[in-house]
Amino acid sequence: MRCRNIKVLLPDLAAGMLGSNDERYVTEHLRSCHSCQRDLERYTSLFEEILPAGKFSEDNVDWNAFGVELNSRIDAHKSRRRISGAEIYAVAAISLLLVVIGVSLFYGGLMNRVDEDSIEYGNIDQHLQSHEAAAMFVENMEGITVLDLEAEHSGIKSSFIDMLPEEQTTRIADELLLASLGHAALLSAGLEYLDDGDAITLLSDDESNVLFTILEQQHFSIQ
Amino acid sequence: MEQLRDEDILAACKKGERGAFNHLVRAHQEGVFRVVRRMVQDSDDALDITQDVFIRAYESIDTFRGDAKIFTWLYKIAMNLSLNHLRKRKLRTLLRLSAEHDTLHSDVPSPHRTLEVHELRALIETAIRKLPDKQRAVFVLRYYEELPYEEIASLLNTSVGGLKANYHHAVRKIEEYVRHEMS
Repeated sequence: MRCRNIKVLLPDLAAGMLGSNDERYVTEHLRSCHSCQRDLERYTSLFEEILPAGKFSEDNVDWNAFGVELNSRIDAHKSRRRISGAEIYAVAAISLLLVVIGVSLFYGGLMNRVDEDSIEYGNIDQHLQSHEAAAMFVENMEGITVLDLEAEHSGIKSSFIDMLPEEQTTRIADELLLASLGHAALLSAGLEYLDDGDAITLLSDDESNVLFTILEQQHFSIQ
Repeated sequence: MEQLRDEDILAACKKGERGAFNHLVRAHQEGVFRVVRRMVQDSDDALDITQDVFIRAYESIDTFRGDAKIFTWLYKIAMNLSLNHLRKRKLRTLLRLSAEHDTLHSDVPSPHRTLEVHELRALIETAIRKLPDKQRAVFVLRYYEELPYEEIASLLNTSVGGLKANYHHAVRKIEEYVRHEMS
């Protein structure tokens, strides 16, 4: 076996978790390989002298309180109003209609601004690359959007609408996140809110993934 | 109730028996918390996520067919939620909004002195925290939970070969970090 194949087995050998068949091959290789011997010594030291210190947790969890809170949260979930399939479709249709109206209104309003400012905008995404424009866009979508730009914080807020299922709101959130992240000032303003409102925590998993992907695409250095 | 098998508990849970679900919670809460705690390295966050794991389990128990063991299913939910939490935390770190999770940096011991257990623990936690998410997940599940690679592969939807490489990289990085900090 080559060193490369052996080395991936060394941590398990050092931890005493290697199967007997593999152990035989590795032991045989170790007889003639000083590099793997050195690695094994280092890993053995790590597993025997260092890592055991991290195996003991100091956390004292009150599991009774945990259970009470969990049951309370489950009850809250259960008591939430269930939405029928027909209602979902109705809400989806209305939402779509409102989005179209909102975008139309926004686009019309922006065109007026374009005339006033004599600025040429190419498409709707570019229009959204300003705080004012995005705020106007959101205002026109009031009641259905998952994101709400608050004047006070000039930032992005996740305000989920209970009636809408996540998959529908995610699409709208994607558009708004894309729009707001395209503009550094708007992003910066949004972050001020995030600091206060911890909106990232409120974002759904899908939404945070979208945000994460966008940030990666924009070459932010992610640790 | 203590003698019930997974299938019996599952069947009772699917019938909506809260007692059965509570039994499931009690049987697995500490294991789920332990793995989440290792992943996110914050007790409060870990408790919140552990609650979320069981709420998600409660909501989706009807769709769980019992192909895997209950604890494997719960661990899978736990790993997904933990990884999402880490991703969100990275966003916050990226955006320079929160320093609350960086406090462990100050616990890194000074060089050239003997480490107390709690210092060693902080050093290990820092080393683990520096790992990429996937390597951290593999390390936690393999070293702390002592799960077989096949089970981890099922949890993380990846190959056994890739996992072994990930585990090796994780151990090597932890060893290098600890050795560097202690030298």
